[in-house]
Amino acid sequence: MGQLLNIKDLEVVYQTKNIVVEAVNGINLSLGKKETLGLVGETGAGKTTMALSILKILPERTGKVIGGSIDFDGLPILDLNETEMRAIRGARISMIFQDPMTSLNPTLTVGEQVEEGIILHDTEYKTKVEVKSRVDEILELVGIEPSRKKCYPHEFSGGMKQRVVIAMALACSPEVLIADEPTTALDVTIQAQVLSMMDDLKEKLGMSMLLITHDLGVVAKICDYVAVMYAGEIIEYGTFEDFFINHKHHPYTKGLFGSIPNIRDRSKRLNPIEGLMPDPTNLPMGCKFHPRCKQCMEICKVKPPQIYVNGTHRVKCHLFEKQEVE
Amino acid sequence: MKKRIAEDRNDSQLADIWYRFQKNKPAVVGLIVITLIISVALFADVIANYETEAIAQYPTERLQTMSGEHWFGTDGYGRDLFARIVHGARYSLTFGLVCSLIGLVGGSAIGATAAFFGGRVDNAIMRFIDVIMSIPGILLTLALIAALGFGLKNMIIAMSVSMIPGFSRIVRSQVLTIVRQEYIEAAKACGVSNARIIFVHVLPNAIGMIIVNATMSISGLIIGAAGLSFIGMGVQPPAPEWGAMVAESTNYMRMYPHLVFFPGISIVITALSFNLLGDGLADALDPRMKE
Repeated sequence: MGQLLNIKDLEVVYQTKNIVVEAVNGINLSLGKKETLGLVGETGAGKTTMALSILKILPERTGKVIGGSIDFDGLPILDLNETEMRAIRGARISMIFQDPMTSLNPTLTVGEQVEEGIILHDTEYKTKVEVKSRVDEILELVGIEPSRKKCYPHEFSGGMKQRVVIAMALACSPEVLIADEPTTALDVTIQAQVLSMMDDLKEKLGMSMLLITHDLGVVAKICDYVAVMYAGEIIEYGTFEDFFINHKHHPYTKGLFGSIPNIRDRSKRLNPIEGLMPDPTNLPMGCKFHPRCKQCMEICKVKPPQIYVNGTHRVKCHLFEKQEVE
Repeated sequence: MKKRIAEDRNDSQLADIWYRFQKNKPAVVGLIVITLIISVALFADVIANYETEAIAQYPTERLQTMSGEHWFGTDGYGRDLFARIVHGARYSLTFGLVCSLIGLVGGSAIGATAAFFGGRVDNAIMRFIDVIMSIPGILLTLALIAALGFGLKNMIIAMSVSMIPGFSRIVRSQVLTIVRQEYIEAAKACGVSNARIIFVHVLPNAIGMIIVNATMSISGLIIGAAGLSFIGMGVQPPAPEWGAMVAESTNYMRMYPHLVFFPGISIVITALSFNLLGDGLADALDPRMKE
């Protein structure tokens, strides 16, 4: 396909003595050069798990990839050893974590943390002076005064910390940036700033980006492609236009859009999707969404749905198979 | 108050720590007193001769009160109390510092091993530690001394061993919480090696807590050592150990309270100073305490 990152039939479980949590159940995704893919879904849908398995940093004793493959620029990620993986982490694929408050080491200065990746990886910046100027350059890029690099993380506000985290991720000019809910911990105005900054940087540096979020507004703003995840599966995938213009959606996607409060709608109540995510240790038969689905049919309860394809738009639901037949 | 802004701050981390430390006045007092006691212990032989002044008995000069010749008076055997207290500082400091250092190193090794390997190793080590901790510290020390026999070396071994379980727990819990922090995950995502994660990301975050606990434990060790000597299980007479001196003087306590007072107050001041120092270090080593 010529894509940069290909994920095929990925299955990840968390295993403890008595329980097996099926976090990711057969995911197919690909990310091309300079594309932004938005990964949307409820808490616990397996978004972060998928991101961690791309970097192979799943929790050591419990997290296990039990099937599928991840291919990055021709490299089979899942077959690489630790040393080879370390050369990729941070240098070619890097990640921005959810909470900027806890993803910085409190005992190192901001500059030291940005510089760490540059020193560790075999970059073009070899001498101390080059590294220093790169740190300054990258801090300026994310909108932090380079003179503040001697500060410790606690001297920064939340938005500033997230900028530092982004600077760390960008320091080695990675090809893929995985952003795991980069704006969840920030307030709305800062969210907007950070997002537009990330969008700018992506353009400037020519990166691909995997943006994990549960904010559809964010998706609408910067994503080329969107994937909706539910109970470890991708239930709908398409271009930005497919989602926001096309009307054939998975009932879950409809529910997601329906639960956004509308400023013109005067109704007093919000419209949530009824029910909860299924227990990942005990997933339902058939379509995993059927216990919550308003358009549930008999077949949904027994048979997992096929993928319905329409151009770039893919939906995993029995509803559309039927329509196609008709 | 001195306002410091980021732009003109080029000093090292050590200077930062000192800046925060010196704002805690009781801790500074503690540090000064400890420095004083340490120098007294170091130069004890210059201040008073061990054999002739602290050990040799002069029955004609027994039970004198404070005077120009004998600053703290003399004890029941006519030995100069000041000279004995000066030499006694060596015992107390040796116990405090050496035992806490051994306990710290042993405890860190055990605790960190348990935390890093986790699972069965962790379980085995920590259950064993639990068993040891179920024995009261002083009882364990006494049992070890009873088994090993009297003597300075055995006393140090016994007290160090009973320090190890406590330190193991502290270090293990510290390492465990730090390893689960998101910045460790972030460091992994940056391609940082395990060794570097341990030395650059985990230890500096744990070291403050460890140093503080070690300092605080010193006062307990000093009091413990004095207690052991007091009941006759520690340093044996005629060695000038503070606890032993208090014990010897109890016979004369009614008429000559200063014989109990001076060694007693020495123990209290030394222990208190280490506690104040530990308290100050706790604040100074935490970078979040900076204004």
